Amino acid sequence: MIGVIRTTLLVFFGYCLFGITEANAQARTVSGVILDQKNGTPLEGATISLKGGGSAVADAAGRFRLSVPAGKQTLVVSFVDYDPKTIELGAGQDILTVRLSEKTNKNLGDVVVVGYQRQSMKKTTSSVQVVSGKSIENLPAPSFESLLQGKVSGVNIQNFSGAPGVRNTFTVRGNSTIVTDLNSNVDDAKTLSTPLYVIDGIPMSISDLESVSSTGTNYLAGINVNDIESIMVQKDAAATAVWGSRGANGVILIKTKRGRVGKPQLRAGVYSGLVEKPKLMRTVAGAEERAQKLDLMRVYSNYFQLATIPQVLSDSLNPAFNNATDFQDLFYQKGSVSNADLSVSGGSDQLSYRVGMNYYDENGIVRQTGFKRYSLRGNFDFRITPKLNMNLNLSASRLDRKVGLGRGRNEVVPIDGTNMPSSFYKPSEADLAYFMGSYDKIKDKNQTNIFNGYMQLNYDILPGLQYSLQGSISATGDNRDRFQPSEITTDGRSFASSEANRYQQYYVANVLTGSRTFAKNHNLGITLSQSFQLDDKSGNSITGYNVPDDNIRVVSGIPQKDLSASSYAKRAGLLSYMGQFSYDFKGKYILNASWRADASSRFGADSKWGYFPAISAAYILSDEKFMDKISWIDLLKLRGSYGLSGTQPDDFYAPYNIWDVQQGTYNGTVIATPSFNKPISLPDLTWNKSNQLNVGFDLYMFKNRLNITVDAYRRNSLNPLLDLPFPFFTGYTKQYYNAPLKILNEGFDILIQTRNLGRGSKLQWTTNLNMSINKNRIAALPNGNRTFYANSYGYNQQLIYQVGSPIYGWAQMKYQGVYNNQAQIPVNPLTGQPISYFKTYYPVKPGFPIWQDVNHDWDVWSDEDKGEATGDLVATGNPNPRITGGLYNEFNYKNFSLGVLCVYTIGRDIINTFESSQYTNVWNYGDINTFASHRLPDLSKVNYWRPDQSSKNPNYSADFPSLSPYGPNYYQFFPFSTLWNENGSYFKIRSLTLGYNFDRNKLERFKLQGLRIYSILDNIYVFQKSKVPDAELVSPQGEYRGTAYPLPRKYTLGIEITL
Amino acid sequence: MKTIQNKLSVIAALLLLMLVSSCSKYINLKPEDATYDEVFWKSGANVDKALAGAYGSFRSALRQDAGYFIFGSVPSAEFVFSGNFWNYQDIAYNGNFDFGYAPYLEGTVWNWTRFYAVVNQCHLIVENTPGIDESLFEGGADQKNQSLGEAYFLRAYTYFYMTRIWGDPVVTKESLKDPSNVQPIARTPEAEALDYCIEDLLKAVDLLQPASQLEAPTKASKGAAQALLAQIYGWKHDYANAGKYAQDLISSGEYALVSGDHFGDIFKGSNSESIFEIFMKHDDANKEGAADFFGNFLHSPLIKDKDPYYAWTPNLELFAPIYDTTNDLRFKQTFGDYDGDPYLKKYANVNYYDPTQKSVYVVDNNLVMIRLADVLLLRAEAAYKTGDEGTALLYLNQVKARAGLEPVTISGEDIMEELMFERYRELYGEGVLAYDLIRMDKLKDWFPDQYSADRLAKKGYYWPLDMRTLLPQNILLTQNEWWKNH
Repeated sequence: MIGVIRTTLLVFFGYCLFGITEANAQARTVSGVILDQKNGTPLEGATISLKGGGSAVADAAGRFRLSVPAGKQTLVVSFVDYDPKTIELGAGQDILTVRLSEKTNKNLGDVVVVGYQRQSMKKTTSSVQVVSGKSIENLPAPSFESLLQGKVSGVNIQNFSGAPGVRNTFTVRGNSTIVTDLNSNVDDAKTLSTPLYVIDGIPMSISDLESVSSTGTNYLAGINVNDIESIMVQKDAAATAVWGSRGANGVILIKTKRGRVGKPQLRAGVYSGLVEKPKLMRTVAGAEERAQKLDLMRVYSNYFQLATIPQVLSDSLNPAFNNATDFQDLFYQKGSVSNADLSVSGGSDQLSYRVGMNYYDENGIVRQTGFKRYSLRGNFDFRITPKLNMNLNLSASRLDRKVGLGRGRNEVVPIDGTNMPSSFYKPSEADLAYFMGSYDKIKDKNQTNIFNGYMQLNYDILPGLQYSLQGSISATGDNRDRFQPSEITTDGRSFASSEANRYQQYYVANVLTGSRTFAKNHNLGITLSQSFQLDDKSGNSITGYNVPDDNIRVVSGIPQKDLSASSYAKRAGLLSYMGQFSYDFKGKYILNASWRADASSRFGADSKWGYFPAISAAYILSDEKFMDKISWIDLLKLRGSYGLSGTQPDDFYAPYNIWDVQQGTYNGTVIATPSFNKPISLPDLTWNKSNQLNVGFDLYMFKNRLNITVDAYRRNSLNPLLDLPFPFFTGYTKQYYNAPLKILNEGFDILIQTRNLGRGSKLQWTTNLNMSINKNRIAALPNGNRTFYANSYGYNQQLIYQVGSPIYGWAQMKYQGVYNNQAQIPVNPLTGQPISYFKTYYPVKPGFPIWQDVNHDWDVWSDEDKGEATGDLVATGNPNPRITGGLYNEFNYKNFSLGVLCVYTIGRDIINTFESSQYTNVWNYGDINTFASHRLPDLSKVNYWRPDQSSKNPNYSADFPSLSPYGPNYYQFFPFSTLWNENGSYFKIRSLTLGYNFDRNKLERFKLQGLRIYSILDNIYVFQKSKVPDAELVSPQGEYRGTAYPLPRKYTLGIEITL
Repeated sequence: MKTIQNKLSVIAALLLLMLVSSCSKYINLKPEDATYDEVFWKSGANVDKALAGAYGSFRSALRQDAGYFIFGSVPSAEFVFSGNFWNYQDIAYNGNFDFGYAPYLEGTVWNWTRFYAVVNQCHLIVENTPGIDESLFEGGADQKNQSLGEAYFLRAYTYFYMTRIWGDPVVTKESLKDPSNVQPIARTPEAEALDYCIEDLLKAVDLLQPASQLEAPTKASKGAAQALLAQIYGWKHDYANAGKYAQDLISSGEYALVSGDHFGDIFKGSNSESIFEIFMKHDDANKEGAADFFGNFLHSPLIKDKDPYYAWTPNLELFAPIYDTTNDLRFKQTFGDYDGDPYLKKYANVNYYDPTQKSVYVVDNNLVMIRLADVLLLRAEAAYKTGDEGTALLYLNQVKARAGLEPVTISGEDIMEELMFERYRELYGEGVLAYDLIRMDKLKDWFPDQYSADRLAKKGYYWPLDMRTLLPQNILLTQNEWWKNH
């Protein structure tokens, strides 16, 4: 296979070289730069062409080089959305500086990079959206991806955690990832699909990088937000198929800022601000709590039960029990955020550069949490000879993250929210020291170091034919060192550990790009590339108990039997060949096609290669003659694309059946069994296929006052790599394979941009409204479409996977209110018995919830023990939002600017599992002492069914079931009924940015080129129906667990100076 | 300038060629931090590890939620439960052995998946060991045979064990070959499954070494295979064969009863009476011992600060009267008593191995699964059932004599009744009596309130299966008759 491709490539290269060499025998060279007239920005992608044939394209620094015949010549310089310029070139002139001025139409000026090809926004056939770095600049967040929320259509970003430096979910056009075992300590962010990030040309798989993270720190937080020039979100197959086996979930291209030709410019910016302590759930404390508890006991108890009132409740004068501590309050504090940037940029014909430094420091609102980043980036462009240039990008960052005092991955506070103690207790000095994080003997150091080096060498073989060699080395080191002294660990043994993980990535690519115009109107472009990537990860971990002395805070001097250590080393290789073809006629009828072949070491021996073709076309209708009459239409473009892309397995050795030798011994002999953690896999394991159809249009009207882009898509993810329950008689519980499963994501992306006031108006007001509508459903399942169930996080409600239902949908019993009196309870006419719950154990009585008897067997339960598939469970909630999007308004008046960003999510079900567990605790396994000593939910506004009311009033009607600490308990407060389901829609005023630009003329006196001051309010207000503190702050599966890190409100003030 | 460009193009071209040729090896990377199927079956030492894997999986299968005792001792009313074990109460005596309600235990008592991991492991050993040359085994041909025999033995034991708990098992006879094409399999009738076990054991008897040639009874021996054959034939009520293999074992002279005064030491493991046991003793390096399996039976002061409320209590109300408490040497070595709180004493070798960790203990006992006294009583039962009352009394009295009791002279059905009582006295808390009640058909006499004729006819002594979990994996699976509507 490789042989064939190699031959084909060589033949093709040879043809190009030969054919074009002939045509341009005697040439002299003209070189120079093409810049924007107004601000001197280099115009990457601008074309300079010779009348009579031959053209060149400007590079990132705006530089070009063109061969022309001897004598006077006429050159035409053009660039999309710039007015073209004709230049008469003198006979001896060989250096040029061309300045183009912008057309009125701005949006189409952006150059988009699809695969290895540059296309103008006007000519692109794929569904992409570009977000400029300007629009997220200085926003107080550690990483850029959460800042894209509400700015891009087709993207759903939910910040389910406010913890600084932690990754949140970012899905492009719906989720296609299924994690079948949500209780396997998996990071929440990984339960939804993640796009591929291409950072300055280097493809980075976040899930691979995070697989070595012992700290859980977001890799993307290593990039300074203010270093970003632009972010391009590529959504459809025309763009993603070019990334082959990794592109199925969308591709995000990040371009960092580069130097500009011109005199050196120094820019410094600082912002700093406050992070507000979050609003907490109301805690009933002290006397109020005592009254509530005693009331519950009085109402529901019998005479004998009332004889035992726990001392905590009865002894209200005892100083040990007469406190009103709000335990939640102990963990939260006011936070702060500050950021400092310094950058220098400049350039000449030979070299342009930009060097940036950054320091970001966020002090979390949960004690002992925070995030610090130190980063350094230098981007250099060298022009070695007129034909040869080189780009070099170097970056380094260090991330320090304090993870808090929580125990698990998804917990941030030391006390589990569901087991919070009663307010009667006073925390001890040691407890307080621990909760407040002032405990100086504890150590938890998390550090991530990231280094990236990227080099690109471009050589113009001939005009219109360029070869480039790209290479990069990235190294990520991740360290976590911990120590806990004996007095705070639960088992009284001191604990120390040291973990180190390394991830190295090598990437090299050969790219040949050719473009030519035939017969004036036929534009042809071909790109061929070959690339190779090697991912190499390794690490070690040492853990020990019983450190000899609490002053030793590392793993040292620990007895042999308390020590454990392990290390690992894994590598994965990816070899790819890619071809891209573009053709257009008069820039009006456009056809693009691409083909990629990927061979990955992660695929099985018999299925190494995967092939990813894509085809797309566009028709610019507005360029037709007959459209000239409709003057109010500036642009109407119709687009369509279809292609394949894929997802790779996370496991580097997916096709191998690994033996597990870490299970200890049997009578001293090491135990070896096939790994049951890594299920059995197949030799023909391959990429997870996905095909996508996209149709869309761009309509720009009224001199670009109203621009509309609409896309409709259908993405079909086939045979995802999943571990699914496997027949028990094989001995394996799971199998990792390309499950015959089909997931459909269908929807619309809508983007509307308007300029609401006329061009002449002093006040400028622009609006950007975007909307992503997505429907996620399962179209086919293994075993003849047999429905299967899975556990939700914490084993709360059941998850159901059935044809037609969405991923992570719930199956629950239907809660329909409360049986207020005996007369309302249905009686089985055959037996004369009332309807019962829980396999006939609990005949229904007044005060019981009304659960719907779906299967009409006069008993409501999930019936999992019978042969029946579902019992009384029905598919209920869907945590996948139906519509997400944003609304951004920007106002400019003189030197003032004001931006308001709102984001919204509509049509999402969420479930309050936190409240569920709080109410379950009321019964607390019938132990009245446990009831007394734990936190109670606020019952003051709950109209729960009370026997005393019921006996007094025959028409008594309650809104909530009976709430007895004495039972009966048939798990009625578990979220396996719909009692806790809520509407998760919200509309949030996300951020408000107010800025003032000082007048350039006035600044000149101070030798300043620019001065701007601004203030930002982040996370301002949320409108929602749900009772949870913030409807966005729920897990990707829609659960409000009460332990999530709140999304805080931030206020910052900043200044930016340009010298 | 020109020369630099030329050089660079040459270098670039070379780089390109090198890349293309060297990359292909990187797309065939093999794991370097793990062993895998293709390279594992290359030495006798690895077969040992695989066997350790089989025993180890069997051990964890038995330990899970103390399932070994839930199946073997709870349905025989040997224990009563406090409110701490509210979820055990329904399946116990006071809850009339309602196996259909076992909250939080479903994964253990209704799901047999973990035993199939043992079966598959045995399949792998049976299939791959013959292909390894005997010179690659440290002990040559003998060791190769022994290894193979152990796999046959353990496979038979696992199927037999499942059959006694859930009835008809799903029988597979080879390891998983093509994971992409797994066909559903219906349950195999009990008799057929047992024949498959017998087939395996007959091979094992020939392959395995006698106990005296092995280090410890934690590995299968010829005697273990004979004992298991006797038990399986007994379960099939083929008493002629049961007697034959029990007699083979007794006559082999490999085993002897320990003295009555040291009855309690049997459970520490490795003694003249123990035929097959599972290793669970503690050693510092490997930590194979555990607290939560045998520890279920123990409480304060043996275990510091553990209230009797958190322990399984022997049902002495029901069973103390069957003992001659003054003369029976076994009574005081079976039951302990602290301040009126009784506990099972057989596995009470508590060890606080880590002086710095005061709250963590292990119970340093092995799990003795088959021992000579059990086989002697089975020999007696077989003799009685085949009409030889003299031999029956001989072996019954041999067990009584060790316990310090006078011989009995009885006849007819009284012998069966006495054998059942003797089994309770001898094997209390060893996880076997529940099966003896079924085999000896005593449920209808001993627990008539719990076992109606209907329940017995529909084999309601077997446990239900978790159909919600298992059915989707195998559409031919059926629920046990009695539990379809109970």
